Amino acid sequence: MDPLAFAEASHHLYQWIGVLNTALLLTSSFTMALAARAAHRAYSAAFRVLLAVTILLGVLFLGFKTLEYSLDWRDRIVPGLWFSPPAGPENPRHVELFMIFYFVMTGLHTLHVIVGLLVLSTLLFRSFRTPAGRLSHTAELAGLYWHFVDLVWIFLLPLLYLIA
Amino acid sequence: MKPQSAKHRASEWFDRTLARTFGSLLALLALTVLLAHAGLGPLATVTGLLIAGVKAGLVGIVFMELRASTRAQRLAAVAGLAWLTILIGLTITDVLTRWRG
Repeated sequence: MDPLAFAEASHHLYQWIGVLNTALLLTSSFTMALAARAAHRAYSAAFRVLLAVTILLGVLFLGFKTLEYSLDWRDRIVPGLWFSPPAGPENPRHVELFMIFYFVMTGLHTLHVIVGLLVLSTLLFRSFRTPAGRLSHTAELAGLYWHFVDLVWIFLLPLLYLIA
Repeated sequence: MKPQSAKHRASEWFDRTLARTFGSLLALLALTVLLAHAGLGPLATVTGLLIAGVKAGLVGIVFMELRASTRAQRLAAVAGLAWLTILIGLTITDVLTRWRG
């Protein structure tokens, strides 16, 4: 394994999807922070709308992730028997190792996004029966989790997509 | 439940500090992408991670309300970040110190 092979392998990824997904998650963190603030100040309508927008942005993230994984599959850069990357100067085994890093790290992250969306959806469901002011503490905790998922992705972008 | 001032300011739920932070985060994202294509070589990964650190700081301090937290909460956050640095650091060290072949 050597760094040049990782840089080479990184070029097989769809950088525009990685960058777009970063923008989506950053925006969703912003709307989540606003939602928590709205709950704290007992604005039920604003809370619901901001929460719904946050969920929508999360779903969009998953949509682009799905598109990216299917493109990776088409390009045959998914590790395993079908693995057959475009011919490059590097050892394909090194590229495969990088792809294992990529799929484990982004896969685990995607799992956390799905859990976050379940948490936020539950919160949105509850907000139709409970005033936002009483959900303030729950919203803050759900927000902490959502921001954490965002934090992890912030580091995954340069680690996986932007290696030169 | 609503504060008294709510009657006077319709968009009380909006927050300028949060909006400014969001703007900075997008600007830093653009900077990361630009620097990744600026031909910095091996330095690109380092600058990318440094900018990621700044972004993480903004998210933690403003979005996760660390600025309004107690010292114990801040200590817990810094400890978490320290462990993340160790985990990612060791992974990178492993990759960077192996010879080709």
